[in-house]
Amino acid sequence: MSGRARIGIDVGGTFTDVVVAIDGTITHGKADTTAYDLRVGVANALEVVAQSISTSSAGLLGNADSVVYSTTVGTNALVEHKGPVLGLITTHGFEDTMLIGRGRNWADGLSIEARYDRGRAVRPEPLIPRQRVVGVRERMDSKGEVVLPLRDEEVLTQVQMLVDQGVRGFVVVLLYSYANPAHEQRIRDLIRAQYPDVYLGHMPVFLSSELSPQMGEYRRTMTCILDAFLRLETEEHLVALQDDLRTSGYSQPLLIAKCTGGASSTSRTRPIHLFGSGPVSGIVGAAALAGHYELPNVFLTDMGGTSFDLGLVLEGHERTYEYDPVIDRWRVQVPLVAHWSIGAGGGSIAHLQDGILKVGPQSAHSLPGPACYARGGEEPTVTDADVVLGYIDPDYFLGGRVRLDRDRAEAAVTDHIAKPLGVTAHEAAWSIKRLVDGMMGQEMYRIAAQMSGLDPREFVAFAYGGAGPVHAAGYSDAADVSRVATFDFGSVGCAFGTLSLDVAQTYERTHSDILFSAADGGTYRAEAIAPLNEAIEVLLAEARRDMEEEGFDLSALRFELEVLLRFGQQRHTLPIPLAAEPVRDLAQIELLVGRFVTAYGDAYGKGAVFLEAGVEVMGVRLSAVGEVAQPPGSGLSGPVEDTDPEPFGHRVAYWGFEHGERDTPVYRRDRLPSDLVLTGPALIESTDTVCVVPPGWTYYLDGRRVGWLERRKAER
Amino acid sequence: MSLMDRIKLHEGLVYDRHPYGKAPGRDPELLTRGIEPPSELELEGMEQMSLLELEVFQHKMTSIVEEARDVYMALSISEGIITGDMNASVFTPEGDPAVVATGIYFHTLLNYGQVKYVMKYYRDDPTVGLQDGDVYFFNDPTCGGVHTFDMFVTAPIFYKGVLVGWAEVGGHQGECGSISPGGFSPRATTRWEEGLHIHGMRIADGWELRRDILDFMLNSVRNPFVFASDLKARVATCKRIRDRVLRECERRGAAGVAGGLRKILAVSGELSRQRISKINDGIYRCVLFNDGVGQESGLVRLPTTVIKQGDEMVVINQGVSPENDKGPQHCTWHLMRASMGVYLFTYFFRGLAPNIGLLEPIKVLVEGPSVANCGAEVAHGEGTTISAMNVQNLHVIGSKMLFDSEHRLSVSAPFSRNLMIYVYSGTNSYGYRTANFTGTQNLAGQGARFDLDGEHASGFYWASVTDAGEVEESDTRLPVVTLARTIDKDFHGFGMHRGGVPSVEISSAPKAGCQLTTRGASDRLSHNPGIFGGYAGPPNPRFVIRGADVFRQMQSGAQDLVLTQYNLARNRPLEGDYHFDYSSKATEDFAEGDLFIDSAGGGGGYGDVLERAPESVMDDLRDQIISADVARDVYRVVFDEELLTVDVAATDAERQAARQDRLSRGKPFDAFVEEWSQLRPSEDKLTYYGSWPEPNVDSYTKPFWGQFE
Repeated sequence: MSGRARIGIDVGGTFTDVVVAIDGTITHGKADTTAYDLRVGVANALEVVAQSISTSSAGLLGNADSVVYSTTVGTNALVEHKGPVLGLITTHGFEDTMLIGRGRNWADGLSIEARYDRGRAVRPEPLIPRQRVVGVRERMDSKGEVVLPLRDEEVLTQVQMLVDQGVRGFVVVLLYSYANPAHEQRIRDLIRAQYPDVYLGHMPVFLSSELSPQMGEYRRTMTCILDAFLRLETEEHLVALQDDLRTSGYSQPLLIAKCTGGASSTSRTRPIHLFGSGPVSGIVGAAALAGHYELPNVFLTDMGGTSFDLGLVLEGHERTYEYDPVIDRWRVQVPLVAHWSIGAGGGSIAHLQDGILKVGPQSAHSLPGPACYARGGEEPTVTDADVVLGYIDPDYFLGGRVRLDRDRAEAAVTDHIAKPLGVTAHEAAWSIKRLVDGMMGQEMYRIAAQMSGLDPREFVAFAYGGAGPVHAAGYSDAADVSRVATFDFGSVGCAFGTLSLDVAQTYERTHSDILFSAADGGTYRAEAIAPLNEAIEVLLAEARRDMEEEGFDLSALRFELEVLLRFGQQRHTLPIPLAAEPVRDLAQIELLVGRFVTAYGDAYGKGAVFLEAGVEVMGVRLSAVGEVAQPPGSGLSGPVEDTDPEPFGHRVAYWGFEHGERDTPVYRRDRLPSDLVLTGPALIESTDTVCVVPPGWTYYLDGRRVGWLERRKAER
Repeated sequence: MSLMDRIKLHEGLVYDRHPYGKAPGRDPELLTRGIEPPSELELEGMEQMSLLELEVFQHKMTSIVEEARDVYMALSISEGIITGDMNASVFTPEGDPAVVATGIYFHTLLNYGQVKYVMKYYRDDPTVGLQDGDVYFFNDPTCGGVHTFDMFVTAPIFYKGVLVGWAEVGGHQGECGSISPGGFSPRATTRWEEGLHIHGMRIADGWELRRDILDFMLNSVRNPFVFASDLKARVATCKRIRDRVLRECERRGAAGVAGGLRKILAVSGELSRQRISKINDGIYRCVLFNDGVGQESGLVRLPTTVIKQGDEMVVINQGVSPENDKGPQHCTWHLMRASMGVYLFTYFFRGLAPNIGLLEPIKVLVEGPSVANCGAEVAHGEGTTISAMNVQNLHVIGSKMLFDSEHRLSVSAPFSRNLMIYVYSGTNSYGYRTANFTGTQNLAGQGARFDLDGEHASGFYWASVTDAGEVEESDTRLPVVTLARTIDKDFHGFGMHRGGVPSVEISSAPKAGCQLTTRGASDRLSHNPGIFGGYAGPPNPRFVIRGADVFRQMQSGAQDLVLTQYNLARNRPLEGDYHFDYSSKATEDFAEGDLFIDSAGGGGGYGDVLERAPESVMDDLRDQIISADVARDVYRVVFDEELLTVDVAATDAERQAARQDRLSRGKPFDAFVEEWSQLRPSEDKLTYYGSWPEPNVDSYTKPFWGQFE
């Protein structure tokens, strides 16, 4: 092994993936995720990769410049409600905020179908039971003025009530604390005075004004509770893993991938930022790849066994933040890089409902799995349909590592779908594929429209996941996308993405003011400049503090500032970029408002612009980015030798009602020469997937061994 | 014998149509004729489209309207629309709503009358015409809408010169120039006091709003700023729908899209019949009473009968109280029908895509003129109070119908409709003049399910998914300071499974004071029935405390004030004047520190209280949603009040004694009927009721459930 290694690790629900970049060469491997102790799966996956490049884990780690780790630690704690005993102190009158949850929280985190099923609504159990929520009589108004002062004696009484119930940590969320944190800080001081740090039994206090200084008492409460709830387990796991790596010879800091779109050392990472870090890493990686190809708008699609995940690169940028993101079942205030998921994957079960074909959201998962797995599953799944259609070779699934039973697939499709509908097995399987492709395509369409306002035709799709290339042409067609890229490492895309993560911190806070008033013929407000600068300076100071701790030269940092603007009284805001420095004069405010008007018109149509309503700022968001070295070529391989333009073989595949059965050429991806354009129908097999090229589409590998599916112009 | 043959309709009244006729801009026949037969274009497309393709097409259309809904909610500044009281739709070219994103389910089944009116009267009229880029506005309830403060726009979608459908967007905007600020006008007694009435007027050419029309509308309302902002949002959203549908036309052609939209309705009709056919035939009944008209108390009756036979159903409202001239609690035939969707789509047709096609096998007969099927001249603003009573009846009936079916998961007590809306007006913290409500109405309690308690504070009666927002935001938008949002005690229906508790919002007038207008129903008589022995959700009168100066008192004499409705109502801990009033009240001024206690009501219970697990009763106590009194006296649980542990043996004995007591009070059915038939409310309660007991029959000796053979 020559050269220094960069290692990316992604712990998924089923597999733990590792990608290693050495001198521009990418190697990857995977092992089962070990839910009982994630470190075991990580060690196993590292060993698999190390062996594939003829070294040991210790050899690999001892030669590594960096390890970036994306993990699901905390997910189980949240699902099983296993965490520290916490108490919540809030403003009296708002003790039920967590339960009420804007009324809609019963539906948060559920599938679209379940969200409409109000009759069967069931809220998740709260992470802090109602008995451990206490109120104190105090009140700020929305400007942060004290309306009702806090009384120390009441605080102490309520704290004691919580301690008597066995509480080991306090979450403090008072109304409008983002505008004035004085009462929250006073509560912390009182608790610390009562339970000093120097003694055993010290109890942490989490203030919402520090963790999430933003408007919205429910989301702020849940953000703080999640952070506090997950802290212990997350910390223990990361420290233990770091020790493991150090013991194996790795001497650099372990970098943690975050859902905010960057990485940071353990000491600068918040537990809540770990959620969704895998898919977000995938998006960041996709953005880097898109940069190589100068593609401004990309759908990152990832179709696995149970879900179809989506991310967006817009105008070359991966940081499309989700408005009101949901973690598990909880709506929070986290600048989460947006990604979406629907219940459509290879394991999605096809069934008839009132005589009409439906696919999903129920999944056969990996156990019992699709009928063709012969593990007891009898219901037809999308994978069964792919086998019946001839796309998946039962003897070469996952490179032959798993043998499939075609007869069982056909029986499932025939018995459950074809016979009741009075069609052939091929027609039934095609219908399953057509339907699931349509569902995924429409999700792409919806997301593109909702998040960008762009026409989906302006996007290219990247197809990740084991089932991605099998269905990419189908779902892209449904979404109106006519170019799809497929990759050698598509099954480990999230781990690959971690290699592209910069060290980054993101900060947000509410700042509410009027920048442009429509009164008196329209006035840009000079008095808004100083408070806006103050809000920006608070974030910059926090960023400098944290990035200095990470060891960065502050002059080399890249700051990205966004100001959240809206027309008067709207709830929705648009983020508008602004130089990360104090606003100097009214001309800059005018420029900012002008940018907002343009962006608004682009997103919603010029007819929707309503400057007469005035323009308000509602918040500021800052990302501080310390760039790290990218792997040469960003993981793309060069030309290969020993190629063969001829098919590896042929098999009969079914291509829909129009084309029927065709004897279809089958190619092996690793043998195909670059730039050879194949015309569909064709099947391009590799060890972890098969790329399905339907009639009307072409396929070729470019010089970097990226496989391009393209719909022929006449078909668009 | 057909079950329908057993119906005796009263002569001189109408049932299957409105009691009002044509007028400029209005043709009631368009509202009752049902789904239009497919045009040639639609037939061509329907034949082309397989069921599989239809499924894919329907997904795409749903994506389009859901995107539109999100865009509209994001752009709007009206409280109602932000919180989900709205919809976005694609209609068939002939004017029937085919794909709808809600919002509010009854919007799914409305607004076709206005589109069909444009088609019938304006399209070929050379002074009006119809072309790409036209946008029509409407809000007149007699022409197919709800109330004047629900405002919509629609635009035709032309592809290569062929009309392939309509885009439609709108919702509850609020202020509409009526006699009370903010929309709801309890003082209104005729339609002429309810502000703007626009039947269907072209307001834009080539997607550009006409300045003269816009000025006219803005000059007709109190908050032109909000009106203009929301109107622009609606037009922009409509155009978004149109652009997306056109792209689908490029893929499928005009016939493919037009036929696909029409086929969605045809298939839904078939699915509806399949669902209905699996349910036991029979006649099912339920009745509710309202306790007010306009700003006065008074008894009003609304019975519902469902006759189910084969794959069809007839829903009849007969024996309804007559119209009155006292207020806006009057409903139209089309709103009565459309409102049924709120129950049917969530529960009865659970799992089927909601659209007007599902109503195809359901015949609707609403007696009129009456409060449920009123004339054109009366005020209509609170017609939903009447139609909601029908929905609640239908919910009880549906639960009985579905109990012995494969759809038992839908069996439940109704969602809370003891809705109280407080409309605040004044100057908000940004300095804007404003008039609107908070998200409290989106925090009603759910009815208990056959296998589960009802969820607390889980939504708005009319809508599937709504957002109540957060106080930190609504406080900045409205002229109030909200002091509490709580899950309150003893404010739901008890039962084997209990109903959900609403959130109660306690707010105070700010320094500058504010104005308050209220509307509601169920001040004394609940509209949230329990089912199979469960208690009804409690009534929900208007509750305000004047002269409270709450912050002063909290800093001095009432430092330990517990801010809950239960405490304020029961213990009256604050100095001040406590008012428990009739809910519909005209606008009044309030001073700093006055208190408003507002909620959307608790859901009804399911099953006998004596069958509720004692441990569940203790959980309710721990969660502070019942008092010890209720645990002891209603649920008959014997427990340690400090430790909240159940004495199992003593509880069994107590419950057994309660059952014995019930038996001792029982009597034969005929004896009950004999006694019941003699009962009669006092005359002052019957002023607006009609004849007792049958409002439309002078002399009637049977109890109210006996009007059929």
